[in-house]
Amino acid sequence: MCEVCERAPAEYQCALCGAHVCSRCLAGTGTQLCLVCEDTRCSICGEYLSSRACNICGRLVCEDHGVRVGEATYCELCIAQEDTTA
Amino acid sequence: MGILTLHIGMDDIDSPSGGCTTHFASLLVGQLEELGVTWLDYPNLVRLNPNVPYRTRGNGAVALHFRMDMKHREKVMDIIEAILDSYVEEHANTNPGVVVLEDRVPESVQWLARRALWRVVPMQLVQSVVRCDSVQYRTRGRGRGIVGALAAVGHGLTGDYTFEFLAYRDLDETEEERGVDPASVRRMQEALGDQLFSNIDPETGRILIAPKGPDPVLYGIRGESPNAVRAAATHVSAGQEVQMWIIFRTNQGTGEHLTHRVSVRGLRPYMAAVVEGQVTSRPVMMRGGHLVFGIEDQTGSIDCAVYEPSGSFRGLIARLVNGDLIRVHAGVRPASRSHPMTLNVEGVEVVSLAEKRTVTNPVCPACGKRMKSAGRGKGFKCVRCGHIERHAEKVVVVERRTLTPGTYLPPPRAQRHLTRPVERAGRSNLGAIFTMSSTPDWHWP
Ligand SMILES: [Zn+2]
Ligand SMILES: [Zn+2]
Ligand SMILES: [Zn+2]
Ligand SMILES: [Zn+2]
Ligand SMILES: [Zn+2]
Repeated sequence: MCEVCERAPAEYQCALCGAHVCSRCLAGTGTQLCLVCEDTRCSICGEYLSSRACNICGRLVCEDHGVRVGEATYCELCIAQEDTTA
Repeated sequence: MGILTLHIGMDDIDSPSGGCTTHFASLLVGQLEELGVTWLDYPNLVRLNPNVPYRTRGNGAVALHFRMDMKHREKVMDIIEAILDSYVEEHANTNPGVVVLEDRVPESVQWLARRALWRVVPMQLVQSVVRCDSVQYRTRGRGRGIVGALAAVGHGLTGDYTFEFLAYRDLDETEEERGVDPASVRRMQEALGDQLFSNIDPETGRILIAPKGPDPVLYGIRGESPNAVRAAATHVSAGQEVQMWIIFRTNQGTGEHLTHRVSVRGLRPYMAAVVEGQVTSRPVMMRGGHLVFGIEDQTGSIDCAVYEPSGSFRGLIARLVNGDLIRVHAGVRPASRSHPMTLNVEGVEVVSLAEKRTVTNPVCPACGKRMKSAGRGKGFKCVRCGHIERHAEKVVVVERRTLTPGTYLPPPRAQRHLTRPVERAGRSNLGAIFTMSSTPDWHWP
């Protein structure tokens, strides 16, 4: 059974998380990713899944592309922008 | 004109700079009352999977269930739009979602609610539910909030539940100190005892009812019944004025996100899961103060991490040894460049303890000092008196374990909203009926 929708038989395996999913729960990007991984991938590298959303722009970023400051996370792009405007 | 049953769900109205879904809901409650609605339940505060990456703080969504005259049908969406716009204007980067459902909540929405407690629900799946069941909705920004909004409506708090009294301050004063008096909170705890939970950290004595951020919440009191939290609030004094208060029925403190037992092979990123396995590498303290240990079941092995603020909990976990059988309550942290997929430990049930053995050299029979090896196959030699024991063997000592089987949780200050705290062990309000009329005033103004 598809691990994402629990409604259709699983036909594929997600290349990132290993989930067995149906054809409708495979993202249509030719990347063999399930819909969950497609939604939660790091918006900067796309290679790893994200750990948090940036507190400034809301982008999802992985541990390498976001900096944790206390409870908050700031993405690399927002930090770069802060540096140029500062 | 007929009577209409409505369910409104909302989520992600929080933003890092303030604002909050429950505050939005409280404003909505006030405006709906002006339409003369009949409430079917307390406002529901539904906490969802705390491991999703785009969550705003506690990942809490709200649902309102009520009946009203059909003639006001159109006005409901107008009211929602107006509050939503004023909210979003003030807070950039919030992705609110509000849904409105009529009559029966479809099974697809209930499924989504069960799912959102412990998994990530992709947007595309939510959109198909919204289309198929013709759900009315409004979103702003990225609209992520629609997932939690639907889940809150679909949840219905049909399992165990608790209550929270939320007091709000003026939106223009959210940068100022709340000034909640710790002594007043201790008096509150003394007066209401086990009718409340997770309001004070027993380890540090720290007051947990006041949040830290610049949000409109002045304080929140968690308890077992509406009357208890209502009475508790009369004890609390704060530096800021209470501008509005409301009682929510909620799944906080129920542990219901951790009801899925998953094998190591079945683990997926962001899951909230209980994983049973044997400790295969004993806890090691890492740079940054977190503890990492490994477990294994028949399907594979995985690292488990306990984070810094977990205090004495970390000390207890450090006593695990290889072979201990445990159930880890965890959130699954996805792999990164620097670490494989890891379990973020939220609690540990120690099922059974392995024998902790240490192997040492024998003691010198002549002088009592521990001997040294005399070389391979040559027995042992005493360095103090020169005594030699050719045929002595290493001694196996079974150490006394200081850990006992049972459930271990981090202190309340490090717990999730959903964590079932020690005070609530074995406790449930399932079956207890709190009618709206049993607490005549459940919100103000
Ligand atoms: Zn599917
Ligand atoms: Zn995947
Ligand atoms: Zn990245
Ligand atoms: Zn950013
Ligand atoms: Zn000796």
